[in-house]
Amino acid sequence: MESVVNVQGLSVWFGDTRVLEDIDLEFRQGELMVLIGPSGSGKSTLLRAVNRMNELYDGVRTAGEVTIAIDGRAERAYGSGASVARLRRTAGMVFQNPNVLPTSIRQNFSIPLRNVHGLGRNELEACMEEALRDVELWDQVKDRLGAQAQSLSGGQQQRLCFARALALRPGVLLLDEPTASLDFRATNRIEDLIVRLKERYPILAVSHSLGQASRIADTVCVLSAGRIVRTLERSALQDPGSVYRLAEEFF
Amino acid sequence: MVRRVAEILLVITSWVSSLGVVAVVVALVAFLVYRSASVLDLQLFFGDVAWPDAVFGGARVLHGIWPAIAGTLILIAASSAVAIPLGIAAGVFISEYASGRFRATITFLVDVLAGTPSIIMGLFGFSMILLLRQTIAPDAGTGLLVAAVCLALLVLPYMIRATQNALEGLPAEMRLLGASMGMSHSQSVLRILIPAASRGILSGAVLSLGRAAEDTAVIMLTGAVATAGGRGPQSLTDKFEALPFKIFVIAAEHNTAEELSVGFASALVLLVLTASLFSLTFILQRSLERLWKA
Repeated sequence: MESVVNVQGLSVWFGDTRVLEDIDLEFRQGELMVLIGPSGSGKSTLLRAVNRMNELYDGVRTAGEVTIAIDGRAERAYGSGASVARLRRTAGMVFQNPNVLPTSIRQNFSIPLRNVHGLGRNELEACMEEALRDVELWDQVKDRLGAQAQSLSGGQQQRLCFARALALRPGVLLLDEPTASLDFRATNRIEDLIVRLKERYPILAVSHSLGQASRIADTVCVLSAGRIVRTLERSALQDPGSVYRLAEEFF
Repeated sequence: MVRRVAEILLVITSWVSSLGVVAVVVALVAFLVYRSASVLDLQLFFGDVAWPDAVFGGARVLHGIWPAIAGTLILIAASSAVAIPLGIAAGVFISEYASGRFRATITFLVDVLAGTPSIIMGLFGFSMILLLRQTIAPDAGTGLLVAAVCLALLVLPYMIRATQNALEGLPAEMRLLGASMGMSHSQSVLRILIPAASRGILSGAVLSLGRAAEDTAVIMLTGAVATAGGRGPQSLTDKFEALPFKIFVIAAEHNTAEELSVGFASALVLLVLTASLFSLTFILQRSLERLWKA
């Protein structure tokens, strides 16, 4: 299978602190890769290196190369002349806390879709409906699209964020601990959603929970102090013994 | 036990303080109404002239405060037209575009401007006119435009600081959101951050309007006069009457008790005027916000 994101020799510094050190990583179409590791191990930084979100912080320096497939062509994310806006459009991102706009449900779609894709009103409605159906939220919100997004429950807000990312037609999904702020039931629904979306999008996710990683991941990368110290395939994740040893060793 | 007492004291103090604010405002308004009740009628505003003639026909109002009301309204409009857009733009620039030492320098200069007494702004305008007269424009004189610009300079730092604070107070994840969806920085600022910060920006505008409405020191050096021929300003270079200056003159020079009552009535009118402007600004902001949220 062809690789969608390819990371080579990636190092990231925040000021004088080296947060990531010489990372190599590759993930492919149809693959769900989960990054785990103790807090401060650099997993979110690695995720944000893919769509260059680290650059929004002061004093960040990045070395190495990230190649990402945009519209079927492999492009260098950090190459000269690379369009950051296009890169970020290609990588749909979902944050740890449901990051809805403090507007109506409808505006959560129309603000980005108008500005990023220049969609008109009719295309916009169709696009929003399709995305909301994808995340199984349509039936709950179709009669109140003008209601404030913040009036939804935490789990619904997070599914809205997924829908918004999908509506922007991404080539890959980047999930930054998408269930960390949710309760057990909402977490289950989001996990089911992620597994379903995997059929259509390659997914790179950060998780705080080894249990979650072993439930949903095809591949798990364990980070510690800015390095990938272990990579486990699906078969190894099914063996409770190896997962237990992993937990003993790193958490 | 000590903690319990401290807690009760805190609750009592905060209640008394907030009730105190209400009491002061009510007392102030009541006092103004009481002292001006005897002269509160149409004659106060327009003297013996019929009001449509004064407002629309340009008839001269020699015994009434209409010219001062018109002067103040136009003055506020002109200085807001300069200060509000400029202040919002500068605040957005400092918060969203400037960085490092440059940002620190501008912030410091805004602080300096905020700390400048209004009489200095008046003197600035006055000396500017003197300089112009001696150099490129021998006919230049003080007037509405000069006063409005100096007032704008006075309220600019409030506007800048309010905008900057409102933007910087937005949640960190909201700043990342626009970029993460592939919106450009300017799109993100215009479509997400400024609308989300609009309530804070509004409070800056309210503060600016109020300050521009009440300030006397600036305008008395830059073109306000006690009587300007019974009409509101006809052009931007005209000398003009304004309510705060009118109140000042009456307080200093009144001869009869009735004249003094007119002064109190003018103060009441100024209060009502600014309150109406605040409400107008409030309604405008809420409608824009509703448009963004819907």
